[in-house]
Amino acid sequence: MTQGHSPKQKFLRLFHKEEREFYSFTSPWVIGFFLFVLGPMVASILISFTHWDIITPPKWVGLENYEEMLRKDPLFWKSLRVTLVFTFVLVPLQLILSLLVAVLLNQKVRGLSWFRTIFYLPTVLPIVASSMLWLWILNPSGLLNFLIRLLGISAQDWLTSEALALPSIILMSLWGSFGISMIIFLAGLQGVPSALYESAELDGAGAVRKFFTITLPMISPVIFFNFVMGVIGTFQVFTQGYLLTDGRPNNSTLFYVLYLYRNAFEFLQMGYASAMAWVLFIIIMGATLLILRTSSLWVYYEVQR
Amino acid sequence: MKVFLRILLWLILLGSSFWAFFLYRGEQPPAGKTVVSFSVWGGVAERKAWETLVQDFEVKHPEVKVNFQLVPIKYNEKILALLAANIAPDVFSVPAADMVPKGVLRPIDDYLARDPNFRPENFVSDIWKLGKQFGHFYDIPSTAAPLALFYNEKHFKEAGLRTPNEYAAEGKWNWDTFLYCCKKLVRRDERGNVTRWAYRVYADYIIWLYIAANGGRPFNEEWTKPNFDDPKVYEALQRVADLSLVHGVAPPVIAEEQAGVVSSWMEFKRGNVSMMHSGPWMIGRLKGMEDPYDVAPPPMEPGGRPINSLGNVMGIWIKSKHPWEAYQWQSYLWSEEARVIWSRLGFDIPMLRSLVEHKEKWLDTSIAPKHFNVLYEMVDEAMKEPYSTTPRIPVKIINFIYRSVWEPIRLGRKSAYEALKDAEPEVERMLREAD
Repeated sequence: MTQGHSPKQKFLRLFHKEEREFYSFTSPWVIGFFLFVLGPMVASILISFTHWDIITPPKWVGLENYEEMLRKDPLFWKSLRVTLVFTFVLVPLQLILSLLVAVLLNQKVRGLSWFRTIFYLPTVLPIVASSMLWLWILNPSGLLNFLIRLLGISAQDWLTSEALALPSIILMSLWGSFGISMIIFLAGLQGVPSALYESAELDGAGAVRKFFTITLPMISPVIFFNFVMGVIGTFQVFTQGYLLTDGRPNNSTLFYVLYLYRNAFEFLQMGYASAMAWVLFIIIMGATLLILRTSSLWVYYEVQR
Repeated sequence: MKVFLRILLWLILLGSSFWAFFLYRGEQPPAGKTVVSFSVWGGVAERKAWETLVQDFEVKHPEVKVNFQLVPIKYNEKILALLAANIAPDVFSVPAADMVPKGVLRPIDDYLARDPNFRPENFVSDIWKLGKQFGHFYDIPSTAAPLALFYNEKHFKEAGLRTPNEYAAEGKWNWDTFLYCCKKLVRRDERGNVTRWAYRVYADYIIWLYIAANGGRPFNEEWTKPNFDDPKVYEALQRVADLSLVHGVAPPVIAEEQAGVVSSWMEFKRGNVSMMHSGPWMIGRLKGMEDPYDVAPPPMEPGGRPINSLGNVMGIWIKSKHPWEAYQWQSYLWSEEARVIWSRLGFDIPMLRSLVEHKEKWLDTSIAPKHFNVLYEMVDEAMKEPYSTTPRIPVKIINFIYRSVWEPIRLGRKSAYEALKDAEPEVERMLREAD
């Protein structure tokens, strides 16, 4: 059927076909992006300049929401501080622990697939289910207190003490999230050419030396990826604070997004909540850019750009 | 084949879109019936009661079908989302101070005026008047929900104490007696660890009762300024915090919603706590409690008084397409038939004279505490202004007081005097802005 067509026509036909298929396959995502991401984002920036309670029409107030947030609202700063502590503690812990476990799971030992499954399993659990599980573990008469009592230590108020509530949530988040970065590290570790290790061994390098001079540089792009994703994810933490502590005690677990949610859906301040969302967007964007900019100092790519 | 598949996929896509946009009409009401949607807070315990009410209503009003949805947690947020999406139920409840001025509810003054079944004189202590908010009636409260002290009779007996009702009869049921009882009721093991608490704070909103029982008033009469420098206000809160911080007879900060798996009433029911404050709905929840329990007035200081716990108003959505049918359902809820069903299950004590005088119609003596009459005796006092705080103060301010004032006090981070003094300008500012 196509015998009469020139190669150019054939190419254009193929191109158009591919083009059509491209648009067909990408359109659900693109349409979804415009309708459910970009549209609400543009709307939210406009809403952030208003007082709007959802019920009555919005009232334009200019920068008032931003001014109130930065100058008058102590809980804004408190929630930001809580979130920063969460990020600065959890992300390094998550990176170190998941890398450590990935290195262990990269060894040739029996039952490896079982270990991998066990370590990855918490990640498969929905965050709501794992939060409820931890609520049982950490509650005053829960499993953890039962265990420490056996050791002769008095019971602790894991979720109800100001000093322990945030560390408890960090512990729970670490348990629930390190599986993802672990599996990515594992993939990265398996991509390191064995020839490099063999050469190093011939030169007399030990395990520690090999880890720091071969493994770490070779998987630095993976560390970079996990680092960026970890920072973005932890800044958006919500569910654990919402379900386990409701931001308590004394706002010691009042995460930024939890406070944002509360402003929107409890206090009916959509404008203020939108302004908070944009400030968070700027913070996350800034943090990501900072990591990206400094990545050239510590991330090694085999094929340098 | 490929072309066929492609056409098929497009047909499915376009067909389903066409169906969704133009043909789908949602659940259709049965022929000849009007559907009234209704949403209310409640869990498993309340489901049976609501189902019974709906069945009874539908028998009496065969032309109306009630679709009800129980929301166990975060009720207000869900209603807000439904309002935002313009698909709110016909009848629902909302925090009065936040939502009534925004016009989400339909005033029912006209319906009340022509409703022969609405008999204000039948309501105890004029509680029907509480339905008037910001100049209009939106609801007629069916309950007064006075807050009382629930106590474990067995624990009092074992400790060799007279009961709170006996102390009250002698005029000695004040804070000092309460503290004396707490010290006698707390149980510790040989290492000093508490094995049974004397008292536990039921929920944050009980702070308004502590203040009122101490003779204090947290806001001025116009509800425009906090009254936090009144010694009766800060002393009341400090005393409760000291139950844990100084005397070690109450658990440290454990808000019910925070450690939801061990809420106060569950601990009371299990016999791990000897006393708590709560309302009449607790009778149904405590059904099956092993130890005998009873209710008593809260410990009170001179000038002190009980309050009730009313906050939300159950009204008709301003955009309801069937307001009259919605009103029929709404008014059924405060009718004698509905209150009998509700009270028999232990979720309320009726506030209709016709029922108060005929307790045999609704009182289940197998679950009611001996002194349940105490709840009625408190209603008159509890109905005086301020009968409660939440109907007048927006949720944001209430929330701020619970989390940024009450919690630091309970944690011992600040004295009640300091916390309230520090918070006063901020609360005043928020009240001004809310106004």
